Amino acid sequence: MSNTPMEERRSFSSPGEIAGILVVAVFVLLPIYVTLVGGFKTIGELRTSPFGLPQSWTLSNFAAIIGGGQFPVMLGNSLFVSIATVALTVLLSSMAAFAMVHMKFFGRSHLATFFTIGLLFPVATAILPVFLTLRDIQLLNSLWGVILPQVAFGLAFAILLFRSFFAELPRELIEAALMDRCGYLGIYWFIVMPLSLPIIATVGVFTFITSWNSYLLPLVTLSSESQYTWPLGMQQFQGAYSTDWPKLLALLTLTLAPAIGFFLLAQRYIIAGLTGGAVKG
Amino acid sequence: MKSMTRALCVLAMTAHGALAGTVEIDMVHIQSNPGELKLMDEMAAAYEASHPDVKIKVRKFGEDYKTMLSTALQSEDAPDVIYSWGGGVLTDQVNAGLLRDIGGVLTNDNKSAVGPAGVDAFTRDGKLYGIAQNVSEVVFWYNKDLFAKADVDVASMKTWDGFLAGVKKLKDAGITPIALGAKDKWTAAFYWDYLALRLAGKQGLDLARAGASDGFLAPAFVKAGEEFLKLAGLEPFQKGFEAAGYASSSGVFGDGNAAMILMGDWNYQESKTNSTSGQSVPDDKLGFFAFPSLPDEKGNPTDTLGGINGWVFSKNAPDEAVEFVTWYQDAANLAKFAKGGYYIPINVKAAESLENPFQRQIAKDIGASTYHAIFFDQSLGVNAGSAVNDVSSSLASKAISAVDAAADVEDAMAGDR
Amino acid sequence: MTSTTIATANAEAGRACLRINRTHLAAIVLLAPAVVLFGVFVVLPILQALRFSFYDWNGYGSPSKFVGIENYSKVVTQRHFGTALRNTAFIALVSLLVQLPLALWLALSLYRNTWFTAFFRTVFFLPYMLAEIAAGLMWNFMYDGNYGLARALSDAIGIEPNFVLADPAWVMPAIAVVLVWKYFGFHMMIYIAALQGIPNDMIEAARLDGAKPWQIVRHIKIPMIRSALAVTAFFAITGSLQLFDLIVPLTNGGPNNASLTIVGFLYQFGVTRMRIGFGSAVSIVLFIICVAVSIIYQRAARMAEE
Repeated sequence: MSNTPMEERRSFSSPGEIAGILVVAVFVLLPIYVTLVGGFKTIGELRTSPFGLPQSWTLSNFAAIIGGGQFPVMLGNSLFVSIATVALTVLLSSMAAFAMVHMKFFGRSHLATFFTIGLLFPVATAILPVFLTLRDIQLLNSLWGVILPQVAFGLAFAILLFRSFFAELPRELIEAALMDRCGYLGIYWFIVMPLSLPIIATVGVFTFITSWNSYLLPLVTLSSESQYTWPLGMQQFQGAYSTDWPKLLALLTLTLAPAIGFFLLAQRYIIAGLTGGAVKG
Repeated sequence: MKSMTRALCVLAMTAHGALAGTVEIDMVHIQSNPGELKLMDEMAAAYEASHPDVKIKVRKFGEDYKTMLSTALQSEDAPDVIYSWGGGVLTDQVNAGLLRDIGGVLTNDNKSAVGPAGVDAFTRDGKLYGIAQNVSEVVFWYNKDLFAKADVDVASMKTWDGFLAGVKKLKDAGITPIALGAKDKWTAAFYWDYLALRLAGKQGLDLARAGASDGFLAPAFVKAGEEFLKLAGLEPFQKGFEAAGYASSSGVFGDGNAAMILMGDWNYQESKTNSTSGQSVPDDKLGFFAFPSLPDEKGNPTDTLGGINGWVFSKNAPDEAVEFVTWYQDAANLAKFAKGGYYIPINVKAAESLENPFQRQIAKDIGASTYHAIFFDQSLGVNAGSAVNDVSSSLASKAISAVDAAADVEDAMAGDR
Repeated sequence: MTSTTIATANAEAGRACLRINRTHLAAIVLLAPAVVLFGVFVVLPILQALRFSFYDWNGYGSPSKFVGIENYSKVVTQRHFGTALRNTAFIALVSLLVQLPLALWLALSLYRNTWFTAFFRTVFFLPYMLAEIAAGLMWNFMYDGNYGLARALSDAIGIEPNFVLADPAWVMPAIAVVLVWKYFGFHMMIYIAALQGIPNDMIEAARLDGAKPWQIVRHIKIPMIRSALAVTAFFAITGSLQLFDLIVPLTNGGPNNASLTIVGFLYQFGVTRMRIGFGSAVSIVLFIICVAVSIIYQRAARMAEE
């Protein structure tokens, strides 16, 4: 808002306010800072000076984790799960949202209600039956057993975002395409989707983060280490090395760094998703 | 052109034939000692070399092994060979039809090698489901230096009253008497297990499990809770024990920051791994004694708590899997594990190869045991076993009454009978 | 009407017919995958949970032992269920009374676009991005009485280090701090988006009328972002109802179940013990609470609009 009057701009930065903001910033950054430097310290150093900079930037903890074999496997699993979840969520929810916004068919309004159920409650409420369903279709201890329920639970929110975006698309565009004998599937794929890149990015980024961070579903369905996603691996590390804080902090750093980088790059879409979903929801 | 296609066909068929002739054995476990893992891989490779038609995949599961196992066993690619603690969990798995009866494949020699206790541990309704491999025993490990500093005589720890007095003495001397990692609830359960085992005895436990005479609400079990509370009342555990896990508590003991830890024989190794120095308490300063005996106990002071662990087979496991494990459990092979000190084999001949004096002594104790009770969280099944763990950690921090504790266990057990 | 027009009309109708059928086919193609997946993994499980909740079942085989509402009465009388409910309510209260005001205050300070505000907005939003598991582990270190902040603080004051996560009296406040740390940035962002939507003229007009800054906040800004306030309150409550991941690395529900939440209770006593019936009953109770919250929210939102 470039046209903000000068008085307005000055009025917010009273010294007290700035001090308050700085205090909160320290509160937010302190644990992250301690984690980032902690991985370089020895256990003794960690005990005597958790907040200082490390005496020497030793990389042995990081090397041990990266070279440990398990770490790349976990990241690979998480990456696969997240990418597949994003691809499926974007595809299925945009298809459904397109049909719900631009096509007339019996029961259209009921369908919207049907999907809003998904916004109401968490995965946890359905976790036991989901476990049993996966068992019956033999997807336990398989990454697809994590992906499919994740997509299903993400659909409600994604459809909501796509619906509000599609509703803004000019109706004439679709009608003109219909006149040209372009079928609905063609319109969806060749006309609507290319116009929807901003919302695809938002849904994609948002789904990616949720999937990348998810814990309960992998916890209940995955059993062997070779299938673990990184949050499970981290929990296991905590159990196994609960006394070796430098190693744990190094592991944390290795998983946080990509998350923070991704966040700085994709910040715009994340916030758009949040506020868009929140205002419309 | 035609002949080339045919050649390809033949090639494809041969390749297919080779694949069809190969049996893949999937073996899962939770062992974590690097030396032991290496030895396991070597064993598998050696067997593969002499059996070209067998391929062995040894997989390590995570800390949540027991929970995860129920997932894995029900999944399509259920592992063939599974490390098991026996007990009620095994019973559940057998009742659910998830395991294979291997009685027909084993020879009498195989059976006698593990002894009657080993066969018993994996037998349900007269059918044999597994091969026992190793035994463990829970004892009080103690630090001789710290005992000397507080002027506590280990002989006085034979009785519960003497033990409580010793704890008080240590405390008065400014020493943390006991390391405990109650965030991992099973570590606290060893106290309740042992107190119940001493007070109720084998007969009392069997009756309670069957639901006779008030089940786990019987006086002996309430008393077990009361005695545990008496100990907890002395505040014998290190600061923050409620939020500490087992690894952390074994480190506390290994660093010489607590005088005792009630733990299985495996703690010898774990305290080294988890201590800051990596050395733990030096061997000449380290000792162990049996859980004290109580007044009016119905059990025997020589009854022991621990495990008989081994390998079980999922329902679709091929004969080759059983054959591999019997070879793997051969005395000569087990002796290598014993030599490395990774565990105490149930096979007496293999146990002779134990080099570590502590393990030799424990092996002897188990041999002389009047009744070797399996960890309650295994023997009672998942549900009641978890209840025992849960109330035990609560008792350790005096957050539950002895009666409520017994009632919780009984409630959980009642659902499973 | 000439014959040609009739023919054209017929052809039109025929094409329309064809189009309707084609339209239906396309609709099915577009909708089916989402509906099927959603049905199989979301709707059906809820219905199954409802059914299982009337059985005593360990998950092997098929449920056969019908027990009526026994599971529900067991849930309600289970000692720790009360703890789980209380803790969840406590978390919801902290979210509403501490987190949202903090977020609102920061949003009011930072909603205008300058490099200064952009920087701090990014900083405050950062924790929201981190996985719950990682954030919990980080704070576990901060709270560790042998290391971390807890140790540094107690050394500074010269007292014995305190293990807050081991203390039933302090564990929930300690978790609440982490919760506020993790999520206030999220709420702040929603407020900022809403505040940026307020027309500048309104604020200018009020200022020209001589309104003090706090009066502008009280009488213009807050009423104008009412719907954002409602949404964040809704998120805060539903978030509290689902809290689990964050607590696992901190305390795993301990000490002695003192930090169990509803989902933690469900995991501890339903999932790990493989008591499908009991766990399903907990699920259904949670489901009912969620539905009740959203009905109340919708009522309140409608009332606020009128």
